[in-house]
Amino acid sequence: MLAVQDLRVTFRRAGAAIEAVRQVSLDVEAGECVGIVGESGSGKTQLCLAIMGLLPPNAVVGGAVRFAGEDLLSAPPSRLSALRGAKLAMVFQDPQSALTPHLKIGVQMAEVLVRHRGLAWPAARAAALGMLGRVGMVDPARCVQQYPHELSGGMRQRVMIGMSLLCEPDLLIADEPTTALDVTVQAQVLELLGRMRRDLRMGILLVSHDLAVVAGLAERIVVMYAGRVVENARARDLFRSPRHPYTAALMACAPDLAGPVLARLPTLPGQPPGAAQRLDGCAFAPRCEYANEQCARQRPLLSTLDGGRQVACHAPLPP
Amino acid sequence: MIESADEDPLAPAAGLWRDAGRRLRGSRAALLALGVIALLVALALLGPRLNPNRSDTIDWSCIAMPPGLRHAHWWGTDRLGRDLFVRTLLGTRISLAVGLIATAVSLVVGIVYGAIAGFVGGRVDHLMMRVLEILSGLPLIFFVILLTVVFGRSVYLLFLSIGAIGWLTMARIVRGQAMVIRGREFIEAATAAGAGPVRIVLRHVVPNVIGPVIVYATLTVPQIILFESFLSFLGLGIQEPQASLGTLIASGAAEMESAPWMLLVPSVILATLLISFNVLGDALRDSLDPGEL
Repeated sequence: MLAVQDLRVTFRRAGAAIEAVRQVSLDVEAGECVGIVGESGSGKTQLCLAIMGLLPPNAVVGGAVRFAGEDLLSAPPSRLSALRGAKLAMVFQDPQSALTPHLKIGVQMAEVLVRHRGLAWPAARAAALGMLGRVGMVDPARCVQQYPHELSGGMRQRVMIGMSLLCEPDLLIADEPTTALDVTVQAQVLELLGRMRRDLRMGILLVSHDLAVVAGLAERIVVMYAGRVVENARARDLFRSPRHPYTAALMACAPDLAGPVLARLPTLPGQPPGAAQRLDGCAFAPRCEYANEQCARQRPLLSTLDGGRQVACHAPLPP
Repeated sequence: MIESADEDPLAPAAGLWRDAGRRLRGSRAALLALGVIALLVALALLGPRLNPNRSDTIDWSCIAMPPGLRHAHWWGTDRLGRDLFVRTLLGTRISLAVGLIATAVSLVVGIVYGAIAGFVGGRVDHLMMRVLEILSGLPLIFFVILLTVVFGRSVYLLFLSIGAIGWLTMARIVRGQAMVIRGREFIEAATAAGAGPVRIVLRHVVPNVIGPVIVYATLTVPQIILFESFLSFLGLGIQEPQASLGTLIASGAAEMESAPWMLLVPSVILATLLISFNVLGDALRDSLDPGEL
């Protein structure tokens, strides 16, 4: 349904070209949940914004983004805004700043339906009220009369999710939907996303820096590093045996609450390379404990291994 | 600010303005300021009829009469024996009209100009701001003198010329606000929800801009009233026998030692007016801000 091919996002600033996304390809099938995992600065958010067509004017986008067969990158703005919110919806990281502060929740939500479905205001308002109930707001009737600042973070994110689902989109892009929330609320929001996905049979592109967040929901996981995909595998396979050293390192860093308390959490030493840096070899090589001479010279291409999984590494870990 | 539970949640919400009105009604200072302004407006409109005197008739028996209720000149008379009650209220009427109309002119022009510059940005913004800088570089007085010389003296021209200059700062304020709002995430979220540029400007940008704009507008009214009196003092504004608060204060200042009421009466009215507008502007800003901005 969503097919991203060789997507590049480059920012031009003061003569320098900053490459945020370098040749990323991924697919989301109808009803599928794909997780994108990577550190801060690995290009996850820019990838989402590029798909939505929300990049700032100084960004140069290359490659192709097809949504239900339609090329989004060359679509005119009017077509994009007709798609956005209706077929293609997005949930933002910080529900505090993504809701318009001076509009009541009910009005904000109803406006989406008025815009896309051409509903009259009373009908749109009733639909918004119903959606608030579906996303688990305790008192929807009161909530529609409230302003964003009167709600807690978790409630606001529920509103955001409800708002993005009003038109029953085919694809929901959730950019770090739980990062601004505390852990218990995180679990509730993820549960909600999973439930709504089953109800509406929509695809989700779930972006997070946290493997654990993605683990419960995604069927397929794409690991990004320095703007590139380094591993793309079914979630089950990925967790059972990560093939890219970076994926393995990410998993080793996740604290295991059930296990013994460690004196010191394992960390991944070093910094990811800057987006302006030109790299000849593997971007992860300087931090990789398995790196050999070839890694520094030649960039590994994304190659398909057995079982349909893809890894970009000269010396993938054994299964 | 939580609505009562029995209210129908599906009833159309007036939103921002109704809530702002409710918060405004909760502020005692704002109500007082609003009351004072309403009183002064009513006095300016109706007051002169309550007194038998005319603004330009000279009472030879009561020259420079101090205020008192025993005679018909409640607020006294000036050097020429003209009634100060009637003259001050007529002056208030003109001053208010100049202040309000010129502010309205500057409001409309400033919001349109500033919102376009701030929201479109880029080269358009550059060009529009350079034009603005050139205009604000021109000496104000020179500009007004030029206009009065070309078109002759009239109150309407005064409205227009002051308003035409007042919008410069307004446009800057609106532009700055629009630029800040443009970068906020909820604009991105609204775009992601499929809103087009016109809807975004009208529904998501302008209401967020309106707070500072209203505050600045209420501060512009007294500024313009002061500027008008300055122009009148120079002989470019209101002409005798008409009076504005400014001309009355100017002539009162000349008689400060012998007839202090001539200065005090219009000054007290002016000061009350200015303070009320300031208090109201402040309260409006508080009530238009739903928590965070």
